[in-house]
Order: sequence, then structure tokens, then C-alpha cells
Amino acid sequence: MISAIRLGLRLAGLSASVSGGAARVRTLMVALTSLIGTFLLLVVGSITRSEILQRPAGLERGVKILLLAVVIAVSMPVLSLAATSGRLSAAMRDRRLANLRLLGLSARRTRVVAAVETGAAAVFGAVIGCGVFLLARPVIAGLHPAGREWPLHTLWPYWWATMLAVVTVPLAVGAVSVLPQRSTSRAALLQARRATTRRPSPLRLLPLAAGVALATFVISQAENRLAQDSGSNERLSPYMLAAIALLGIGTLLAVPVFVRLIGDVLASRSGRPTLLIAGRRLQEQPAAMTRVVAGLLIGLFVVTGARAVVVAFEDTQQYRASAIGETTGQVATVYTPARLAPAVRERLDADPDVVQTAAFPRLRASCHVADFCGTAAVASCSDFERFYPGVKGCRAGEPMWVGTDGRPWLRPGATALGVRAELPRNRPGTLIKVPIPRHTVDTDAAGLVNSVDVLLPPSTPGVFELATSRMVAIDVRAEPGIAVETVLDVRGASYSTSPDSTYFSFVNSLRSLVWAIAALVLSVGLLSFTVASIDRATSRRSELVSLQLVGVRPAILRRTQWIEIALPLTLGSAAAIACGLLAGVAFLSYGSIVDQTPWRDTLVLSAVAMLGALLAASSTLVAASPPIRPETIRTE
Amino acid sequence: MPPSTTLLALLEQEPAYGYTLKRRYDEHFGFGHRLAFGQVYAALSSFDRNGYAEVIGVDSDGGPSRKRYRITPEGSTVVERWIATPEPASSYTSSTLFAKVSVALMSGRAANDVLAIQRQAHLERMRALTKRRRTAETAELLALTFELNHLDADLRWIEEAGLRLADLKRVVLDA
Amino acid sequence: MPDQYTLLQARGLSLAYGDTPALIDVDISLRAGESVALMGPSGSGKSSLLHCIAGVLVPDSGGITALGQRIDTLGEAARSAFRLEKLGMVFQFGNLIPELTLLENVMLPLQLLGTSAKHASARAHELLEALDVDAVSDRRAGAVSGGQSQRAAVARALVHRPAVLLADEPTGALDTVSSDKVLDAMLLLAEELGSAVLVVTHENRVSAHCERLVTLRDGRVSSPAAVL
Repeated sequence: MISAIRLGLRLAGLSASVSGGAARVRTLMVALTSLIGTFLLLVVGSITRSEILQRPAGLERGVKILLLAVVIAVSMPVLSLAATSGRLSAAMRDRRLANLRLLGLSARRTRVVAAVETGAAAVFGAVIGCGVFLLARPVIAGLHPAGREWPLHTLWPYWWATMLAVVTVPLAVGAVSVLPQRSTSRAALLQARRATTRRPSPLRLLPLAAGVALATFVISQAENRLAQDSGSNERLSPYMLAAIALLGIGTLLAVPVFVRLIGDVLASRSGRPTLLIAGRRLQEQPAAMTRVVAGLLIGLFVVTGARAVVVAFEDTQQYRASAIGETTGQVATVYTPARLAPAVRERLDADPDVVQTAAFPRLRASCHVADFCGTAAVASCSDFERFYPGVKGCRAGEPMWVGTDGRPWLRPGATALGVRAELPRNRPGTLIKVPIPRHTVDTDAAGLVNSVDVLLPPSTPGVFELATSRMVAIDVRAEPGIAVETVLDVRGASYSTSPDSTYFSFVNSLRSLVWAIAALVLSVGLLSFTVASIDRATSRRSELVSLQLVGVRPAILRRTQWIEIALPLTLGSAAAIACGLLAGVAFLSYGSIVDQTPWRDTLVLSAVAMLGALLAASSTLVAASPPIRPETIRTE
Repeated sequence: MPPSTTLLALLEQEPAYGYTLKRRYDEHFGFGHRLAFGQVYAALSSFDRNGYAEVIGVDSDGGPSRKRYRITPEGSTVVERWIATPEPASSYTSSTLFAKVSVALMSGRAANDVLAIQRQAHLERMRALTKRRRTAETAELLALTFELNHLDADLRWIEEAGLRLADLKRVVLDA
Repeated sequence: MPDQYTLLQARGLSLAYGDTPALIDVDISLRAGESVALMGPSGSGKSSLLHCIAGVLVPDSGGITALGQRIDTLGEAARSAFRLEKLGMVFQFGNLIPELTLLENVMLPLQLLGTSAKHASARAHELLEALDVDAVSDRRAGAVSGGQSQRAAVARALVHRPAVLLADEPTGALDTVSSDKVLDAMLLLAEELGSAVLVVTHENRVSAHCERLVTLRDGRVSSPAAVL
């Protein structure tokens, strides 16, 4: 057993007596991927725990599901990365291990050799990964992404999660390097001997087609029901879940079919050697590349889906109001006795966090006179538009509805609105009658104008005097990104209305979470893809060297490699993102949200994924035209 | 292998009795089949007749008379020519060749050249056979292949002998 | 002395890997239609010489002239182009692209030189026919026997009518019968094209196929027939 372990270490290039450069590079890659994988799992584990600890009252169900999605979205690519590095140079190593079997080494000891060879590096990487995590904890605690706080003392994974994280990656690496012994080399030989490689069955397209059909069905049904206002979509939920599952699995199954198709197209244009070689290679093993990107594809699918789900949170009045406030500055209204008003305004204007203030006196529309209980602001169109840049269509000199036409709520036959002054403790003030507005001021969002339903011009008889006699309202706009409440609290002003910023920051943090996970998934997926591609190119070294010897320019070899890698990668990413989007939209329509597809974010994600894919493909080009050295020419 | 020239070459080393010559021959080239005394004396008398060797004295201390021979300049020329001429490139030349190489080593001649010219002869023969083989029909083809393979074996022997010349020299000179 | 038939002439080639000399003052020339075997024990510099001639390695001193052009002073790209146009190479293991069919492998040099697919295909079939592997021309290189793949490699090396054919242990991985057949076909085709052939080998049977023998020993050319 000791000798088997020692042999494993030797083959890994870890013992000093071996000068195997390639073995050492491979071992380094295994250690590096294991390091990154373990580190990421620990980080996600600790952040998850921190989130849970900070909401001791029990998590909302939505947040729990979200955390689960995060853990899945990160672990899939990490595991795929581990598996990829465990199967590096698989063909060469399988042959070597088969030779060990022929020498008379028992199957068990051969497995020990194989497991030690890759496992040692993986364990080493995992240990370093823990160390890096310990060093990185203060840094993570110092981050405040989108307002989330992860205090240092909460930033520990659960002990079982730690164990899992540290053990999972090396175990996965070791397992894949051991499991496919014997069977694969034989299968590989058979595969190589087969005259023409089998085309992936078109049946692989079925789950995807079914998923698309089902998702489309769910979406159209939901739209119909919404149009007919016939309530809940509960009945659709099994269809929705099935659609999402089919889309996810279908993407993975379908990509080889498309890759093979593209290989056929490229190869048929045999006038161009570059395209021919790339096409033939894709025809040969359309599934090989897809297997490597599977982790990335699942990750992208989940992330795109999650981004669409966040729309469900964005599609609320609360969120929109504060979202606009967040970009132009939040607005609050302060009520103050008329005599103190100038002093209060002056004090607020002096505050650096305040953009501007405006005194728009408020009147309360009488509920008795017109059956319309609302608030009227007294302001000229120009003053009003200056303070609220989003409003449009204000007509000077006549009363206006703000945001919504209020006439449907009036008592039938009403001829005027009755308005009273705002008095402390809601005592009724004098009532005067004003004409019913006939036009509406457009606003970006109803919540933009703080609780104002009607705009009255100061020229309306009696209104201005009435409104400024006792209490005056001062609208305050804070700097964008500053909570207006804090400003007012500091200034000691009493205020009545201000937007709800907790909800806003919660949704924002959800979105940044999705983006952070997207970045993670992309980089881990692309890393494992790059590692695998370099390994493939390296195993083709003698072929590539001989082609260069024949006079093929390195540029042609690089171009071929580039096409061979970039194509399945971009194609797979596009398919995963499209299917993720479709799944997300199905989910949204189930929740009665239509026309809210996050196109912009999806496009950005696609662009970044494509760019990453192309960069990853480019980074493997070094291996595509290895330097011609005499010793590389003769080796088989 | 015709041993006569080999015996002459051994005589070139130093004057010798027939008995001594036979012993030295057996030592170097015998390999299980020794020369008969008759063969040795027949060879020596033919050398004498042809002027390749001469008798330089007769001992007879009680027993039968023993003649002591010495090589003549003519004899040396024969040895020289024999060593320098490659054997016809046919199979089974190696034992003669071995004798030549040993003798060349003993006499301080260039054993390397012996192997080189033989290799040249073999290769030329192989080249000729290979050329004929291209157009040969089955029966001739097999015959040609037979010879080619034996020549190939000889050549490999020559090459190995070339690599081991130093060892051989030590053995030959020690004996 | 070079004459009008000399295709390739190397003079005074010396090459060292660090402190270890691989070639010392080597002269060699190849004439049109001539086949030369290059022999020598392992480490004698055979492959180094071949790679110098192929423009893979640049000699430390000395010069190589091919078709009236100095090739050792050319840049990497120009040497690559020279190989593509003027040289054919055969290796011990065919080194074909396993995913391409035999036909596509053979067409490759022509297509890289800009020949139309139609013409390239016709010419490739012609050579595959001559080498007796046309029947399997649509099989992938990874799926044929070693002998067939080696014949296709020979076809690939000759398809663009190179001036010089360089072969490095071309039959090292074949049995004697296949080896003889491949060599016969290769030399016959080369002779028809008027190409010079240089075969690196350690087998006498292979060298017997060639008209001339050059032997290397410790990086030097020894006498034409010197013992290895």
C-alpha cells in the first residue's frame, strides 16, 4: 500500500526525483482548481450562515429558496470544475494505469495509485483554499455589497458545511480519476476504431422542445387569465415547474445536437482547411465539449432564471417609487406652522444632503362634498415642474389631477371639489369649493409626487390664503442615494411621508446577489473550460507539431482551435441563457406579471458570457501551436 | 571456413611449430571443432611449396622431428590481401569475418576497416537484391527475402562487432 | 560539388544543445531523383540533421541551400512556407489528423497552398490510388490500420510534388512486409516526381531501398561505409 501511494505521488510529479514537466503542470492545475473550488464553497457557506444568523426570527420562504439557488448555482460549476481537473489527460493516464494492471498490480492498488496521483494535489489545494478563506474573511466582512452586512463573527460556515466543502472537492477529483478505470480505455478504443462517429440522436431535442412548448403554454394561459381577470394561476403551477425542469435538462441534452450540426456545416465547406478541421473535430466528439461546459450552462440557466424572478420583486409600486427616488433623490414632506416655515426651510436648504426644498401648501379635499378624499397641493405649474422634473402636461391656471384622473371616484353629479386647510390633530378647517379638474398631469410614477392627488393654481380664489394660514407643507428632496429620513431626523424636523427604503435596498441586494453569482458562475465555468481545453490541445501536441512541420502556419492551427472551442461555448451559453429566460418568464407569468422580461440585464449577461467565452477560447491558443522541438516530433 | 589463410596469418605473428599453430588456432577460432593435425601439416607444407613460409629449423630431442616455420614476405602479402578483401556478400560469412577481424587485431592492422568494407559489400548486395525484389514474383521474392534477412543479420553482427572491437582486442591480445 | 541536379546542399553544419555537440561540420547534398539513407546509432545526430534541413532547427554555423536559396537564414514564417511548398515530410507515426478522412488529410497541403478543392481531391485520389489505399480514402485517419495510415502519410508528403522528401523512420512502426511495400511505393513515386529523398533509419533493410548511404557517428559524417 505504501508503495502504491509512493508511486501515485511520483506519477503526480511531486517527488523530487521526477522531472516530468507535463505531470507537474497537471498537478498544479488540479491543486489550483481544488483551491478555488474549496474557497468558493467556504465563502458561499459562510455568507449563507451570516444571512441566516442576521434574521433570527426565521427566514421568509422566498429568501430561503433564494439562498438554496445560490448554493446550487455556485456548487454546480465548482463540482464540474473538480470533475474536469480530475479527468485531465485522462487518455494518457488511463493507458498508464492499464499498463500497471498488466504489470500485475491489483485493481485495488491501481485505484490507490490513481486516487493518490490526483487526490494528493486536490487535498493540498483544498488545504490552501481553507487558508486563503481564513485570510479573506476580514476582507469579505469589509465588503458591503448593495448594503448587505456580514459581520466578521457571523462569517463562519456551519461546521458540517465546512467539512462538506473541504471534503467535497478533493473527493470529487479523486472519485472521477478512479471510477472510469478499465471500462473507459476499452470504450475509447472502440470509439476510436469506429469508422464514423455516431451522430447524437435528434431525440435529444425532445425535452427542450417539450419545455419550450410547455413554457409557452403557461405564459399564454397566464396572459389569457390576466386579460379575463379570472384570478389565481394556481392551477398552472405543475405545468410551470415541469416547464422549468424540462428547459434546464433540455438545454444540456440539446447542445451536442447543435454542435454536431454546426460541425457538419463547417466540414461540408471543405474549401477552407481551418473550417474543415474544426468542423471534423466537432463532428467527432460533439458531446465532449458540452460535458465540460455543463456546469457553466446550468449556472447560467439558474442565474438568468433568478434574474427574471427578481422582476417579481421589482414589479411593485413600492419598489418603483423608491427606485425613482433613488436616482433623483428621495422626497419627504415636512409640515410646520406657517410662522416657522421660513426658518425651517432655511435650515433645510443649508443642509449639504438636501438638493432643494419647495413650499407647496396642502389642502385636504373634503370627503363629504365630493366623495373624493385626497390631498391638494397649491403650486404654479412652473414651480411644481421645477421640483418634480418628471411631471409633464401641466396646464397653468387650471386645477389638474396628478398622476391619475380622479373623476371616476367622484360622486355622480358632483359639480365642485371641496377643500379644507390642514389643521393640527385633523380638526376641520374652513371649506371652500374649487372646480373639478378636467385634465391630468402625467408623472413617471404615481409615487413620485408625495401624496398629491390634485394640483391647484395659487390663483384659485381663496385657496392660497386658506392653505398658508395655519400649517405649511415643505417638500424636501435629498441627494440621490441618501435616505431623506436621516436628513430630517438630524434636522429635527417632523415629517409625515417618505418612501420605504428598506424594501428598495432588499430588492437591490437581491439583484446584486444575482449578478455576483453570475460573475462567479461564469468565471468558474470558464476556468474549468479553459483548463480542459488546454489539456485537450496538449494531448494533441504531436499531431500539432507535425502539422507545423508539414508547413501549416501556427495561425491556422490557432484559428482552428479557436473555432473549435468558441463555438460550442458561445452556443451553449446562448442556449442556456435563452432557456433560463424562458423559464423565468414562465415563472413570472404564473405570478401574473407580464411584459416585464428583464431584457436589458439578460442582454448584458449574454454579452459578458460571450465575451468571457471568447476570451477563454483565446487563452487556450498558446497550446494550439506548441513550439517545434525535436523530442516532441517522434513521440507517439 | 578455409582455415589455411588463417593459419598463415597466425604464423605471421611469430615463427611456430605446427603443434603450436594448431593450439593457437583452436584457442581463437576452434569453438568446439578442432583442427586435425593432418590439416595443419598439409597447410604448412602447401605454404612451404608456394613460398609463403619457410622452415627455419628442425628439433628432434628424442621424439619425432619437429619443423619450425616462419612466414615469408610473399606469405605476408597473401595475409594482407586476404584481410583487405571483403568476403563475397553471401550469408554465413561471419565466421571467416570473425577470423579476419581477430587476426587484424593481433597484427595491429585496422580491424575497423575490415568491418567497414564488409558492411559496404553487404549493403551493396542488399541494395541489388532489394532492387530485384521490386519486380520479383512470389518464388523468387521469397528466395530474395531469405537472403536479404540473412544479410541483415550479418550486418547487425558487423555493427555489433564494430561496437565491441575494443573488448575483442583485449581478449585477442591476452590470449 | 553542386551541379545543376543538386537540389539541396548543406555545408559545414554544426549544432550544439548547450555544451553537447549534436552536429560537427556536416556536409550533405541531395540530387534530383536520388534517394539517400541516413544512418547512425542513437544520438549520432540523425534527427538533428534532418531537422536542420527541414528548417525546424537553425544550425549554429554552416549553411543550407535548397533550390538555389539559403534557407537557414530565413525567418520562421518563411521557413514554414518553404516547408509547405518544397518539402514533404513523413514521420514514424503518420501524424495525420485523426478526425479527418484519409482523403482530407492528403488534400490538406494542396488546400493550404490554395489549390481548389476539386483539383486537390482529384490529385489526392491519384496518390491514394498509387499507394493502394484509395478504397479506404473516406475513412477517418483514426480508424484505419497503421500501414494504411502510413501510406496516406506518404501520399500527404508527396501530394504537392515537393522537391525534397524527408522521412524520419517512416516504417519504424510497421512490420517488414508493410514496410517494404510502403518504401517501394514511396521511392517509386518520388522517383517519378524527380524528388530527392532523405530517409533517416536505423534499419539496413530500409537503407537498402536507397541508392546512397550517409552514416553519422557522434555528430560527424563517417566514411560512406564506416561501421556504425
